[in-house]
Amino acid sequence: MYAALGDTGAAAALLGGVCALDAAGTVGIVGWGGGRATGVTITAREPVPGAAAVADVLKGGRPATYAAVLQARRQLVASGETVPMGVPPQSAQFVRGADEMLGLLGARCVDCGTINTPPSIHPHCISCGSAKFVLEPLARHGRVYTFVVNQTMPAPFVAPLPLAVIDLDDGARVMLQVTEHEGTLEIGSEVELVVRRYAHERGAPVYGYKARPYAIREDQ
Amino acid sequence: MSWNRVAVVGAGLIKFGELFDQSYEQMAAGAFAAAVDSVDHGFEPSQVEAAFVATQRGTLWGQEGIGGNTVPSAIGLAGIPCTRIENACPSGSDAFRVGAMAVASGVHDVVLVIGVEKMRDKSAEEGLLARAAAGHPIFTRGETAPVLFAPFATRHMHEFGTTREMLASVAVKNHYNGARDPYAHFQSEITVEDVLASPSVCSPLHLLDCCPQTDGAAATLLVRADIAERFTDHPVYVAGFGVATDHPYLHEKSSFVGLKATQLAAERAYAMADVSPADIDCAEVHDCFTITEILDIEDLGFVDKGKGGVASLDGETSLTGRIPINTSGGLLAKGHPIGATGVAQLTECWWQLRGEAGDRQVELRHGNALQHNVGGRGSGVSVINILTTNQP
Repeated sequence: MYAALGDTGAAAALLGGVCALDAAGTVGIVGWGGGRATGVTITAREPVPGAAAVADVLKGGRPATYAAVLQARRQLVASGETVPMGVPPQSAQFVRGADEMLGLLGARCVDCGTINTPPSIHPHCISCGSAKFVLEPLARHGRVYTFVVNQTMPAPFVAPLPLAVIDLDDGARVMLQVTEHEGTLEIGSEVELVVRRYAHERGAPVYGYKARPYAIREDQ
Repeated sequence: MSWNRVAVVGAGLIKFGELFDQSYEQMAAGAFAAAVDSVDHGFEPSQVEAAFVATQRGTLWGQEGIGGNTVPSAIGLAGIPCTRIENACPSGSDAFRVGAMAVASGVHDVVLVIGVEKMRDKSAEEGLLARAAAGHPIFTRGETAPVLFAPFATRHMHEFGTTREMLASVAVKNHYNGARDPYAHFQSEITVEDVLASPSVCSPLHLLDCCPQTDGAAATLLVRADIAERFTDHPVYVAGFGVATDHPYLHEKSSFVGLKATQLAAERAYAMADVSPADIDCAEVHDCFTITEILDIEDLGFVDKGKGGVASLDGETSLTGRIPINTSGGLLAKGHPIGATGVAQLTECWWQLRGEAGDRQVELRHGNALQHNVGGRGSGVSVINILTTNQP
């Protein structure tokens, strides 16, 4: 086993047992480590179906690089591939923020009319300090006030990534990633907000709004 | 305002750079020794009554557990009171302000302010770039440090006709100064063409529009002004300081051609020091990016709003210009070891006011120098300290 496979760790004892069960007889399997030991004996009255096949497969194993093994275990992720990072999608923040992230709600100040986005991080109005708000859906159309194109980010971000500060038609201001962008972004560009998948983290997709140039819509 | 006057009697730093051969603790010890050595009449380390330490990034390797108790042990003074100050990029300047207040209040007579930051041990992807995924999962996603300032460049160019050449002139000037500062991370002059041709990092900012990540440490020794003569015949005094905060998210800004935190902090610092921008001989300002220095010199009142780019291109901020800015090389050339940055800027101001800045020495007309940092998410905090040689 060691000659064929090297040290397979916790799997070594069981793999050895399986390979030995291709003929009638009694096999003892002892696992030891971490200050504990476990032993079992298995008596086979006849060859166990499949054991020989497993033994053949194991004999036919091929060497793999350490990096390939880590990749197979998903402990090492190639650049550009989505990896879990940031706020995990199953965390409380996504439950707490669902209405503002997916419902795109803003908080309009009752006293001065300023729309605060997102509501959960603004217990008090950024303009007048009031704590009285009404929640309302944000406008889905607006214009770019200023923007950048980020070229330098770690995976899973893919450069170039435009980020824009956008003045929506209702007066709210948001900053969002820009998608479906053909190099035409400029101050004053018309954009609309659309739901897009931001990431796929820890088995769950993360959705939120992005901006895209308004002109690309074919139904307008 | 009634407060005991404070004098700076010692200041020093270690050579900034990629200091793989030095631990956090060794950098701290080096900066402290430099400050002690700088005291004209000699200084016994045991005279330090309390220390204030600035370290901003507790998440970079080697400083995850850095707290108030780390530095006294490292500099041979285990047992003294020590408090860690974290206030984003102004951490060092805020530690100085807090140290000055400890003396001004009468609680302590002799205080050490020290900034230490080890930034190069960790790869860029795991360090500052990792903030691209930090913060709000949607509304700040992709927001690396240049994203906090590049939208201001886009807007400044749009509103005032500021050009990439004007931005580049800031980097050229600061690298020129850095080439004359033996403590600077980068020691080479560069040209406008070098900046324009460097790779895009976050448009409209290119690589040489950005400061590097740097290891470094700096220290200052503050004493009650009425005992300063025990330590030196050439004391420099704390004239005043100002601190201000602003909303932390970019989309909460009403203006993208100025930083409100800097403007408010400046009002307060000038009022406390009873000086105006015209009374400042030189200033160390926060140039994490070229656009930041342009915003700073406008927000600090050295030039009119919108004229920062033209003033930089015209040489008004050079060593021999009307208002020399970042004579040390600034963050762009000297480096930006965050907690150490403000303390190192104050060290440069101290050297300038004492006439000890060598090839970088500016003409002293009023005896005042200003130090400024701005940072945090959305430039949400600014700290300004003003030093003077004028007897309080």
